[in-house]
Amino acid sequence: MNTALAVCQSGGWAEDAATLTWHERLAERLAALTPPTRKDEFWRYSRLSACFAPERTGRGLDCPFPSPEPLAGEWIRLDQGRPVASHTRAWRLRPWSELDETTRARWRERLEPGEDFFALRNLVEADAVLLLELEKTADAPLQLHYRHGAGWVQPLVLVELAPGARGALVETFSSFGPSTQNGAAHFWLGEGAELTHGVFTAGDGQALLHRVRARLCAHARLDVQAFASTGAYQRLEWDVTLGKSSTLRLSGITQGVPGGSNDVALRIRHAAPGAATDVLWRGLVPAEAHSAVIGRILIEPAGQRTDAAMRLDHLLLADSAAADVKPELEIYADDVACGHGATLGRLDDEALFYLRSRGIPEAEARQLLIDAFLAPVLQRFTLAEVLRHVQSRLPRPDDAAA
Amino acid sequence: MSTTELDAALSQAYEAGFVTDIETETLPPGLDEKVIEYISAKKNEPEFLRQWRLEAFRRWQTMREPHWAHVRYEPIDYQGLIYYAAPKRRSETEIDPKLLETYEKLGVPVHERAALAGVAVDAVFDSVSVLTTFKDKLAEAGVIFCPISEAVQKYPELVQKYLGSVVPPGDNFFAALNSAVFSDGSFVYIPKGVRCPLELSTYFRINTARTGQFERTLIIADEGSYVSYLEGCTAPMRDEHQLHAAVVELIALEGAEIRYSTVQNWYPGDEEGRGGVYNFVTKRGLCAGRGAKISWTQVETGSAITWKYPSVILKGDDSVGEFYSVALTRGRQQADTGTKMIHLGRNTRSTIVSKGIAAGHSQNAYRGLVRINPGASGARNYTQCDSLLIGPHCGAHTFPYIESRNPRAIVEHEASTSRVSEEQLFYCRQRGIDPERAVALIVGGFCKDVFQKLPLEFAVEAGKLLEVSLEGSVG
Repeated sequence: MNTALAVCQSGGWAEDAATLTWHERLAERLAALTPPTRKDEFWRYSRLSACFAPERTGRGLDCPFPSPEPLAGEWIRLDQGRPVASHTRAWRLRPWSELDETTRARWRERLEPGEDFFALRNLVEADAVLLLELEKTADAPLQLHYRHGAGWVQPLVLVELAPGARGALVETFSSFGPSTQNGAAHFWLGEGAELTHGVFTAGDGQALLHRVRARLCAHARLDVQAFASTGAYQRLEWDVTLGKSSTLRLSGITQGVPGGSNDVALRIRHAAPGAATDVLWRGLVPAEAHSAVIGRILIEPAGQRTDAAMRLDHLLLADSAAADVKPELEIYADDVACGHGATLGRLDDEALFYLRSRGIPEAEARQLLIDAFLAPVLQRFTLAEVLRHVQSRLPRPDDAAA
Repeated sequence: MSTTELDAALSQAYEAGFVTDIETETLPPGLDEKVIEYISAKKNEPEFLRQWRLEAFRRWQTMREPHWAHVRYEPIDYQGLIYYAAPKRRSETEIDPKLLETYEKLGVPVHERAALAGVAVDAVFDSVSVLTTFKDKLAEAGVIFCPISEAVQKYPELVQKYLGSVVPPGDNFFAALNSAVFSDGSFVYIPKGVRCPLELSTYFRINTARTGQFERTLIIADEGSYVSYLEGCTAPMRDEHQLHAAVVELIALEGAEIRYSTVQNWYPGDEEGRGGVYNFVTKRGLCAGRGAKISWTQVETGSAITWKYPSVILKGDDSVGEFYSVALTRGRQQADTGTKMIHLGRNTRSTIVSKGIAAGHSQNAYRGLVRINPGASGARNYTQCDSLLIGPHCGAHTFPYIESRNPRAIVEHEASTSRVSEEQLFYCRQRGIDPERAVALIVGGFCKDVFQKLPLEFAVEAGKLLEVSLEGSVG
């Protein structure tokens, strides 16, 4: 373990005066806030009770994890919200305590959580605060592997790409047992920087909430490739602000598990001219599962010449499956081309009949159609790590026959 | 065209903004149980209705005004409003000629000679219905078309059975207020198997200052019947805001069809947002029986603020719900409008086509819910909502809610937002069409799907209204 990780393990925020004052103010704000309810638009379809089921019983609660899977390439392993081992070269890794005051001040400003209860709680109770910096171009993706298994776990990762830097970051999550991970990653993409962001979730833990907040400077590009499949409750959030002529491409698949509930919440803000957003999210919802996608694209008056598209589709695979979708556009500029589309339905009977009449067994025919449904998203997945995980997790013909 | 010219053209006069100088009987401003007792006594209502109103009022007092819509306005002083204003009648049968003049001026066919128009009219002036035409002709077919206050007297059993059955008094803040103080509105009953021989129409006019209009419309289409109903509304130009909180309930029994069309042209306020009508309306239809059909078509060009979601509850198997809407906002207007399609029965179908046009400094939002309940196997919904932006200071928003609890249903939704394309404009101008006409032409094309659903007379009126409203909106 390197020194940085050792420092990280000792707790979240370093106790310098400015940070202490800031932290105290955040704690006061948190005390005055109540958790969201289903009356809040961004939580109207959420299984909120699942998040609060495991009561926090103290920071740094230990959890006996199974032997970790070996990680390849560059990686950082975070158990119970804290980094425990790493192997990085291209990326610089520093805990909050090692940052100079200028950097700290900059990040304190960037981290303003607004009235978001979970964001505020993550800041106040962060188990570890880790800054990852990329100066140039990293050839191999950096994998952040999170595991949580007991109580409330709240890692906070800050990512900064210098102007023109290019890299890939893959966050993978394994959740176990009665625990809630309320994690956050904050990205700052300098001018012309490019980041490919992979997300892959798995496990049978109680609840996983992960918030990604990204700020794209001019001409920056963020390419998100996500696959969501996990235990009782999971919520992935992207809150992206696009600068001038920047680009966001967000592609994702939700694969529900029986009895589970998956939320995806997207807040995309075009605050400068000439930016482009392209969202494609598809969900497979099996028996007793629930999937929800709430997406909002906001075009501010300065967001002229915006090109934004959002497509949200769900395939309900069984009678007891349920899905909710809310694709929103809020537009305050006139020179824009924005659109969204959403569909909810099951496998097409006619297509199924067509395949079966050609001698393809039903289960196989269903699988073919599911593959076809997911293909446009998979084609956008360029990260080998995510693609490999996805393919190992996609339903087999037996599952699809439900 | 310069910005000044554009602004000047956009602020052109509101033609229906005149005031009728007529003697009226009004209650002092304020709302308490006494006001409700007064309204109920004035209309000589049966006990059940008096109780119903009082219960709604008590409910309303415990409720909070909703603020989730994408509109901003100053708080409404509910105690500063007049809840009852009626033109004084000279006798039971005679109608003040000034009233007739008013409707003539507005182009509403209130004389029966207007039979050529094929429309029977119920004219509501402030809180009361002042006349209803062609009652006798409709009665021959067994159709009941009268003010709701008259229906309460003549057909209390029908009113008691259906009033509040689709929009219960406690449904929402404005519906509760309406249930407590509604003063008039139209009542329609189409008997089994009857195809209503005339288009039915109600024309709403707010005249008196500081008056709220709370009308209630109840339409019942019995098995296998058909009715087409049109609704129009205007108000004088005043500096203060006026509240219009109506409730419309439609009930279509097995195999019945109701077409409900609205051309809403309430006073929108001036360029600075002074005055104008707050149009907070609850409209809902129930397809109660198998194969019933309810179709809402609306053209919304007026009102300072519109908060309106004509909905259909598709309870009967194979029932059909439709919603076609054009909402145009300009100046400082704000609209949050859309629909709800609640699929309960099997093989129910719904179609939503919504066209929003925002100009000036206005905000135009579509808000719609499509809900597929577990029993709605084979249900189908198609939604298309498009927005057009004219000018850099307006906003167009889309808030669709899509909820499915049945995999045997198919829901499709698509939406687009853009401005009038340069290419289209160029094409028109190349052919010698001036920019204003070109925009009107393009917007007309944009709204065509909806206009086609309007009855002929309304389609013409709506087209003209849109053209006038859009004058000078492009440079």
